[in-house]
Amino acid sequence: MTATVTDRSARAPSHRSRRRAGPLARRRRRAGILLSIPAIVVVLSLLFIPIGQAVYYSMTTWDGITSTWIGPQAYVSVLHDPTFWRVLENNALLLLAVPFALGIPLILATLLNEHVRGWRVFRSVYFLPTAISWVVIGVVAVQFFAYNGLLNHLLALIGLGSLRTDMLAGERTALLALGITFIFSMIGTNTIIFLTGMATLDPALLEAARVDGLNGRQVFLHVTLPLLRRFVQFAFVITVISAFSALFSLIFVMTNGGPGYGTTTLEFFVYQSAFSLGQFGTAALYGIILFVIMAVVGLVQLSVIRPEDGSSW
Amino acid sequence: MSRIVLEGVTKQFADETVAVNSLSLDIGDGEFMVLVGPSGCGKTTVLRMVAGLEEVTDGTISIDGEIVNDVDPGHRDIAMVFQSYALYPHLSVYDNMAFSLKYRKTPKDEIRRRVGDAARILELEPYLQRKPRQLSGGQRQRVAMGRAIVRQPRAFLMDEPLSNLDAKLRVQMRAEILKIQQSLNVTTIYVTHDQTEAMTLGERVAVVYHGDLQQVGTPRELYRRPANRFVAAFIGSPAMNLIKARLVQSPEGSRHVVEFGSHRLALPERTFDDNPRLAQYVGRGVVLGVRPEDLEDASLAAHPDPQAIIELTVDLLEDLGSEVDVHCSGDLMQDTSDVVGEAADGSADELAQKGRAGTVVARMNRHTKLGVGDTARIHVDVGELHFFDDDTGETIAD
Amino acid sequence: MTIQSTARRPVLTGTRGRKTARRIALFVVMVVAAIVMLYPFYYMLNNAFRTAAQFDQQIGHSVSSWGRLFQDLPVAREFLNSTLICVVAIVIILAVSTTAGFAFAKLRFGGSGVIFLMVVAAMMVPLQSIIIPEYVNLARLGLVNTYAGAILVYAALGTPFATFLMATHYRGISDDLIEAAIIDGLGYGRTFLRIALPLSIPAMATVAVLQFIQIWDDLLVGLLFLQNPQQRPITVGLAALAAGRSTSIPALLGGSFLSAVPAIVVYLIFQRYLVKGLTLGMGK
Repeated sequence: MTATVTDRSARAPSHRSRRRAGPLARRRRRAGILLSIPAIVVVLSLLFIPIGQAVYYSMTTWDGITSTWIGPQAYVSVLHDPTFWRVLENNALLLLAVPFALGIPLILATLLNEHVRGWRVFRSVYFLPTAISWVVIGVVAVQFFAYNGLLNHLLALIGLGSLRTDMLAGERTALLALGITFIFSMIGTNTIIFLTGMATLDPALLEAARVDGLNGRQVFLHVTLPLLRRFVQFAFVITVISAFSALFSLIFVMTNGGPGYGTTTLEFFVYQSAFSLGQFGTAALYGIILFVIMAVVGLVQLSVIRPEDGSSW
Repeated sequence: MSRIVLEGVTKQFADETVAVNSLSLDIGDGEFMVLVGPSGCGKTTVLRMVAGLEEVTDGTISIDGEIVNDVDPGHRDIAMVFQSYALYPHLSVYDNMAFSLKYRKTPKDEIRRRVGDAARILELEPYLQRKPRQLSGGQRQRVAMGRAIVRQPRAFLMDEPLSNLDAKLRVQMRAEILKIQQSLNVTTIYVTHDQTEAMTLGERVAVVYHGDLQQVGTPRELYRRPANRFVAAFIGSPAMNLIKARLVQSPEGSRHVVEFGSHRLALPERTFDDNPRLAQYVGRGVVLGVRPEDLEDASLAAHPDPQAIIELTVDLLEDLGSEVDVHCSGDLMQDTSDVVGEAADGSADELAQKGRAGTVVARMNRHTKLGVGDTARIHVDVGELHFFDDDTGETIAD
Repeated sequence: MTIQSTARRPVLTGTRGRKTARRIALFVVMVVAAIVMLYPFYYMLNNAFRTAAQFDQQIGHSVSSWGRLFQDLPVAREFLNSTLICVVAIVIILAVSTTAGFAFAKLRFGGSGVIFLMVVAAMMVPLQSIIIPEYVNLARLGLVNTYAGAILVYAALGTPFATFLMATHYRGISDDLIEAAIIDGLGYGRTFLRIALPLSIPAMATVAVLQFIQIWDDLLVGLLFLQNPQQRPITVGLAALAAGRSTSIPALLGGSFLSAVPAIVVYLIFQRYLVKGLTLGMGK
């Protein structure tokens, strides 16, 4: 039974291929749809539809009782509202905390990466503040920044007693206090991210740099950091997103948005508009603006990180 | 009866690539059929189509006379051994083997009996309660086999089951698999890229290349009568030397000659009579094939034919102990087509081909005294020459 | 002839000495950082054991503030509420994300890529953007001030990331395993239940831990959807206390510390999973 075939036979198949999916593929498809329906339903009904509704509300002046349609004009008029800019300004100022929220963890991660004895204990400790509620941190922070609080005590200790203030009483200083507390909370998360990133670095690369003559600092700046780029980007995005949307509890407990509009950020203002001022339309409007900002941040992240990765899906 | 018949089986993927092109194969009941070919040639796709894991674009697959194209893999009564073993990590060895039986509502004592038997044959009894991660590669491979045996299926489908084992273990397991298959007498389709495995295991071997079936036959047939230069270069290690040559007709009474470069060999006397087609190639270019084992150090040849000796320069010696592989070069041109490249060393790599052009490998008796740089007088067993058409690659024969 | 002994090297100079000094310096820095990080806990615990007066003076200790705490807040009740909400929400999230994650990873069907991306993109939706419609919708369904309302919101918020995590995990399971199960005669549903699910317990633990911390620590949802004291989670109770006028600070600190304990305990026990979960988001 020896078939004699040339080793360069024709490429094209003899008939057009039939496209009807076989039984296995059909079973797989059906199972796939069934299994993913719960998640789709949840996300659709509780996330996507509400966003749509929020867009609708944002274009009205609804106060819970009566509602007047404004239309897209609402987004234009908000640009003329000084409150909007004040609120946005607060968010922008908070963003100044981001470099610190990244830099300190970077240093800590580098230290931890040396694997000094007991480093795992230290790692656990650094992450602890992240595990507890912002409410709790806020409560402690209030005491820390108070007139009789620890901060002022420390200042007095090092001779700067004259600087003694109640930080939470001034608009700008309250924001500063908020920022500091924010940094404190983000340290844990980002340290873990960077530490994990460093663990994935191939030590051979660092050794090669050493052999090529670079000193410690140069290795860090020119080899380690570039290799950590993805992790830094990730931490950056998480931190920025947190700065925009995770501070609610902190603000609620520490300053309730005050004094004045001092610590009223975008996300807090949404809550305030709706439940303190009863302006649901406005609240929805700010909510959508917040969403758009987050979406932009997210999209920017995707487009910046993707090209290096190659396709992962 | 577990005869498996493939007729005109074609597989075309969504991106228009044709992985298997109208392949027809008839596998008898209880036969051990090996599908062999270089990576990517489509052999695994064929296996998966028989299993039902890939859809058949065209053609039919039948088991026991029943066309199974649309039958669910779970209902074809076949068992598969994966290259990666696919053992369920969270189950013990016993549970891994018993798994499918449980789902077919087999009674408990029947399960225990079958698993016990398989465990005994495969020497897995001491490991029944262990988890896969606690086993060595060889043990895991045996569990994968055990899982298939326990099913008592109509056919075994094996996808390169020995590829992940080290060389010594592979040789050992080869013999085990053969023994088991012979004692159970289950129809088996075995896929591998290793031609040695194919030759030692297969009752019949099907050589596949670029989705096309090149040749089906017993190992001996493939070795002695390859259908084309791909099969010729693929089967046998070291690969057959394929050299561009010309046939020269000599006057009546003298032997005809084949020339390549500045060398010439006299062909056996009745060559053109026995192979009339070959006579049509006189004056034309052909590809001459001669296996390394048919080349010998002239000084050690038993009955040297003085018209069958060529002189080449020794470049490299590989002393295997039992014999010596001598790499020589001379004024000649190897067939460097992609086909041969992929067959001989699995790649159409240009560099590899460059290295091969002009080189001939001879497997010599271990007593040879040749050294690097020497001029070797090499005796060619001209009774074992093969000739191929340079364009189609087909063997020139009736 | 005897072998000359090498001159003894002084200990603190040369590479070895420098290395040790460096390590000590590192250690000191890390200890300082640790002190800073642990300070809030120390502060809370220390001052919780003071009366208001002792707190102002910062001397002395007493247990009375704890009594005050339990007077001001139905602590046990609120703890129970938080626990209940957490557990049920996590169960829902796990159920929904494992099935969908498996489907998106292994059971590709028409459009599943796009749908998956959309589900994952829903991660971007901040709670604040949807609270108002959410509130309105749930109010219309009569689910405000019920456990169910809050649980649904938490489940919705946690599902996208959980699905992403589970899908990534399932992607890592070899196709061979699933094909083996198919050949063994299982349907895809059974394959999910018996093969994929047991193998994804670490990933589920990660999801559970991350979600537990997020839900337990959350304020806004509780504030809006669980106003009445019977169903308030502990964070809301604390926030109310903190905003109160006549609050005893030590009591507040004590309550805060207590509320932090479960999250800390969960974190310490399941650290491993947390770390893995955080870094999985990087799309390796």
